[in-house]
Amino acid sequence: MTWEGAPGYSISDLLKEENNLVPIITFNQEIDNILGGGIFPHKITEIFGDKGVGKTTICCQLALDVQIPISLGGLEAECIYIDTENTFVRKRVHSMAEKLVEHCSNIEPSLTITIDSLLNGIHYIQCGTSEDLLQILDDLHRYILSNSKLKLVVIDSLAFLFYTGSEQFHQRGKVMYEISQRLSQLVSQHRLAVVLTNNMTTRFSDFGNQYRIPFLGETWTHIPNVRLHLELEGDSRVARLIKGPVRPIDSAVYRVIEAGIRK
Amino acid sequence: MTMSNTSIITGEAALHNLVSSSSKYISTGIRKLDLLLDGGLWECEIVEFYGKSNCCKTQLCHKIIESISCHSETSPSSLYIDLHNDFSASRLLQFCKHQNPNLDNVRVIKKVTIDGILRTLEEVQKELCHGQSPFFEKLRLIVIDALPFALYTVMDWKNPGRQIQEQLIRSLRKISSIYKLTFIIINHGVTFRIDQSGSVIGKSFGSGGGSSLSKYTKNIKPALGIYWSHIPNTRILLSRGDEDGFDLKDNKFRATVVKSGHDQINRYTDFLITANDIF
Repeated sequence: MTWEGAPGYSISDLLKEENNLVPIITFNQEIDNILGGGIFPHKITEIFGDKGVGKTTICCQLALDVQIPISLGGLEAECIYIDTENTFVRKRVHSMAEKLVEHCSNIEPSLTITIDSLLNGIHYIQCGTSEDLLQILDDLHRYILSNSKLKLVVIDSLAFLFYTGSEQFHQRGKVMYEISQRLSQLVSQHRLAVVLTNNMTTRFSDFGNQYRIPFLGETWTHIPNVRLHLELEGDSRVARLIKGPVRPIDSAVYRVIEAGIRK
Repeated sequence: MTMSNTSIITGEAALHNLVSSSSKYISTGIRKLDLLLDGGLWECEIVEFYGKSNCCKTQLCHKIIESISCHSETSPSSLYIDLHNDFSASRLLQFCKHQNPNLDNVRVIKKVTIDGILRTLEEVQKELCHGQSPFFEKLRLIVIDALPFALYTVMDWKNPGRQIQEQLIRSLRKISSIYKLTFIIINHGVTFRIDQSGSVIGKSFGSGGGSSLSKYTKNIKPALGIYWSHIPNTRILLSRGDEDGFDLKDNKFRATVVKSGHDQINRYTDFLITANDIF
């Protein structure tokens, strides 16, 4: 590795690349706005929140939205969906896909996008333990080389792998950094986006009060580039950007309906 | 180190050498930060910024790089070693105040593994030694963001990865002292827990940045352990949020000096971060 005078990337190269990035939309314009357009490639995005708040729905929505044709402003790419909790329900995704096809056909009737093509564009893998995940992430390099349309990796949920992990508590940090390294390698070598979900758990403060925090703990908070917190507030659901590369902390209201995530 | 003579000198002579040395510092571009650092970023030194997630460590480095390298063609150059896809060229541009900033003095190297970093540092040293490249001739600052990403895959609770750490530290020290650069190392911070009597649960964490629990260290300990803790000359804790009485929406953060070769510790200053500036 020798450089011809100047090492690595120049700022103008990076700017060109950043300006050409196409975000993966969530179909909720407010959430897209707080994210800076949508889920950005080349970043690891964490979505965390309590059960039932819509994490899996957003993941399925993104797995479909990454396939939106370029002519409609999408990436026309495909998605790897790593499922650890068996929350991926084909029937639900089928109806979300149906609505997406309808939406796209209304804009451009001549499109070849179909429900089947959308479902085929989601490469589904089941994963049981953190060792499995490390192996899957290693194997993904070869898989992506023969499937260059893959631009999104979803892990739903990452937290579940640590519920009954074989590693001791003190090993957990190292495993997290190993997962982080594999994800970073995928992101930088294959120019794709990673979205993963995290659940909540209860902790007791020294004074005895309970509070909810993300399950993966504080060590993990450094690892995603973008962190989105979903929660229920009374009757509505709110998404809050907790960490982001260039955006200030901001929030948006969203709904989960049959078609997926909407305003 | 082969550059200095090895004869024994008196304390008075050593003090004289220190006072008359031409060791220089370079301004960070943020006046309040310069005050905390006793002038700015000193040659031959390793400065560490650590803190919890989202406390502006990376953004602060973007701003410092802009101040040092983007004002003119003759500005010193900076190298950013990005271990986690955190560098943002658009964010760097947002900090630029000039109409036509000079962006050629900043380069970004993306690495993910510790081997990658060690090889990169070897190459950097070669280029600095040859003196052929204008970029390396003017090099004054190297940022590494963030060290735990590389080291924590080879070290853990049982195995502190001492050999790899030593290799890395030798490299950092050699480059900074021979070529008179400053390294800024970004580190992670985590909260430690205290038991009822007020003592810390878990291992102690060495020199500066929490060798003793104080209201200044705010029960946030730097990662990478005791061995690493002795390496930086200056350690700065960055914090924001409730523990400082800030509302996160205020976009404020605090920098506290927890270890310094220059000046008193436990001094702190609050900063404001906006879309275009940190001050």
